[in-house]
Amino acid sequence: MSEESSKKRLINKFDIILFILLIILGACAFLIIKFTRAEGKTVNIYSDGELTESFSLDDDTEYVYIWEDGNNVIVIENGYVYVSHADCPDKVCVNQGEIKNDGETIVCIPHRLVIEVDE
Amino acid sequence: MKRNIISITALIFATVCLLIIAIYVKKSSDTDEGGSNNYIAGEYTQYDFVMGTYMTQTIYGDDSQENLNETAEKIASEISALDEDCLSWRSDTSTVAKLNNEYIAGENYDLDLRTGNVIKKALDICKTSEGALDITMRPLIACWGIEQYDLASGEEFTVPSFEELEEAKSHTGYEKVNLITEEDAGNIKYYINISESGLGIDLGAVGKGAALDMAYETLEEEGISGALISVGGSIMAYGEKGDGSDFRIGIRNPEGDANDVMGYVEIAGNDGQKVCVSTSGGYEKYVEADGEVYHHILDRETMYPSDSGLISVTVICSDGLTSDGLSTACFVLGYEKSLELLPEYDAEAIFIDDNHNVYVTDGIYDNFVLTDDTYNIKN
Ligand SMILES: [Zn+2]
Repeated sequence: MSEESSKKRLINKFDIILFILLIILGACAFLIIKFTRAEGKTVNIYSDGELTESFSLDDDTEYVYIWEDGNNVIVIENGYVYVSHADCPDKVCVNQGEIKNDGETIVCIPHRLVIEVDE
Repeated sequence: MKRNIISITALIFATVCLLIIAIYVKKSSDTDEGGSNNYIAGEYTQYDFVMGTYMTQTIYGDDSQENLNETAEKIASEISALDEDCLSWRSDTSTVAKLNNEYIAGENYDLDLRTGNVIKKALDICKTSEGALDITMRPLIACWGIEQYDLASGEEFTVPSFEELEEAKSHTGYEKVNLITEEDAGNIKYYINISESGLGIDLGAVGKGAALDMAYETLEEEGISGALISVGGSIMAYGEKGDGSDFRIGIRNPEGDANDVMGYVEIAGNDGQKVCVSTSGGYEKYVEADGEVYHHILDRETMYPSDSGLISVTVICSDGLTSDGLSTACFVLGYEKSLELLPEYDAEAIFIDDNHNVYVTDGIYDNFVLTDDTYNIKN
């Protein structure tokens, strides 16, 4: 009986509320940090395996990739990236359409181009 | 009073903890952006263009980025050399191109060990599949010209005439290729002898798989703990991922684009082991003429693009070349006949037919997860 009453004195209702508040605060801070990280998706442009350009997926832009014997027009729009025009023989890159998810790529084999979305 | 002291201490402690977490997270995201390539702790990704296609390598390990990068560079240059010096019919300097251009019917020619090993394994699949895979299809492939057809040229694709196809077919046939193996004190020496003139060897259906087998040797030599490497439609999962999770290999939706998967295969990491997954499908390369679609995988029997009712076949086994060659053979053979071929090589497969039915062999059934509900698993 005496043990229980001493416990009661050490941790009371206010302490518990305070601890819960701290845990919530911690969780919020962690989520905010995580959320801001996830938002910053980048579009990486590799030419023949070398990273040559990086763009934010959030900023609409148009970039012309130039290869030895041709080029590809890369468009970032509304959180998507796609190849709007290319003068490669197979047009696989143009036909691939839009990508936006982490790890997705558009590849133009004739122009040795890889466009990658990275978190 | 005592309560206040505890509260304040707890508050300070919590604040310090949060600051540490925030700094740590910030730091790791900074190094992500700072690296010139794709490096996250214990994982390195690199893109290369080899064998007329592109290769993605993700190498796992606690090694420094430089070491992982060095291994990836080594693998890429070795595969380029394998293609240019040995296997490619396009490269004038390769063993295969020289043979195709210069051989005289009935004479023996030396083969380098790498080319010999590839032709030996490939010829074995040619025989077992009774020609569904055939490494002498070059004249027929050239006659169709599907692979060289340039859409941008504006020229219409013309289907070759029956006579042209018959003529091309007469210069094919793996039965006319003899590989002679000599073993002298443990050293293997290969000779090749082609019994008729006008033939042309084309290892396109097994080259990417052979590249994976070569990459495996380098990963072993370099003591790499895990890797996921894809060359064209062939993928190898090697060893273990850093976090111990399973490898997840997407099976492409044959009617979608390159990022569109219809399901995936889960492969548990296994120290020092490799699992190879190769897919063949008509979507890889095709042309359209008069409203008809002609894809690039030819059936020697009919001389036309194969028409077995399948739109893609994925073959899974421990050997890269075998998975690659079998995926082509099974695509030509169709579902029923493939079921007899696969056990010869301890291989499993996922078949997709033109009615969106999916057939999965027993050995891989539990590892396959369907994610696209427009497809139905039939067995
Ligand atoms: Zn392209």
